[in-house]
Amino acid sequence: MAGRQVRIAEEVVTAASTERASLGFASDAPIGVVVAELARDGIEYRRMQQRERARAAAYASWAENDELHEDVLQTLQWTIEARTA
Amino acid sequence: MAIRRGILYEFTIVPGASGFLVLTNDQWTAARSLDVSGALVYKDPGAGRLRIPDTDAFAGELLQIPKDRLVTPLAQLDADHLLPIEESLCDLLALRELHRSPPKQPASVPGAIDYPQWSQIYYASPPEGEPPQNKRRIVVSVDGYNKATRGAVCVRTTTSPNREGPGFPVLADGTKAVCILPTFFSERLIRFKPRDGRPVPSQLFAADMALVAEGLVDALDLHHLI
Repeated sequence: MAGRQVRIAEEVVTAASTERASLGFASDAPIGVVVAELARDGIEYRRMQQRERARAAAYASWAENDELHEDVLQTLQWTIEARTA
Repeated sequence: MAIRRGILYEFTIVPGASGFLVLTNDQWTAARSLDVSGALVYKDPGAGRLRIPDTDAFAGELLQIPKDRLVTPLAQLDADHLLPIEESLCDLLALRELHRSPPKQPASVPGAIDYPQWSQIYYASPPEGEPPQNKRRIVVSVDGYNKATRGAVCVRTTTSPNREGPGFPVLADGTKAVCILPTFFSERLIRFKPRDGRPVPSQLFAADMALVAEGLVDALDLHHLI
């Protein structure tokens, strides 16, 4: 049990040192704050949050892309026709 | 009701199918996106289909469809019911192999190559009656799946400028793969025969296929299995 806790603590400190920006912390955030927040939230949870933020920002410019949509409509029609042929 | 990953909808537009299971991630469906990808759902088993636990339904091919075709939700699948479908996606798209460093190519299939092949780039369109198509389709499903289902899961490429991000990795030739909308094409629709014209380049190598795999992991929210 104690060994597992030590491993988790090491993982948190390593992530706080090497993945600070990719986990959503300011580059000048005190290491103690980063470690405390990672220990509280969990590294995977922070990674998931960051992924979701990155996606939401990136998708805004793609979401209403008519060119993608036309392709979807066309390939759906082809799929239906191929199954009825 | 907002469209979300894991919701099973009534969907009978494609002959033979009875439902559609949304698999694109929730940030895409929450954006003002017009389309989603997910699995066609059937009442009967078949090649490439997997029984959804505790139901008489079978999840089949990935398909991109317009969101406005999803009107009647039937059920929300929880994590346990989604897991075997997600595992199957990881296998048929070789996501774990391609996530390795260096990426590992999926195993080839012995015998005659009479099916669209993994990592190859083809054009797709009906055999007759349609104008020629110039959209490039990258085959992302492994050859065993392609041979069994007589078709392949593909992602298209785009040269759309000023756009990138998760789900749209930039490949070595500068084009972007539209991983957010993977879709199955029957082999009747894929121009893979030797006499068919092929795009140039006609194949992606492992480094680009690894980028496409990362895009698919993000698009289909499969990080927890990689």
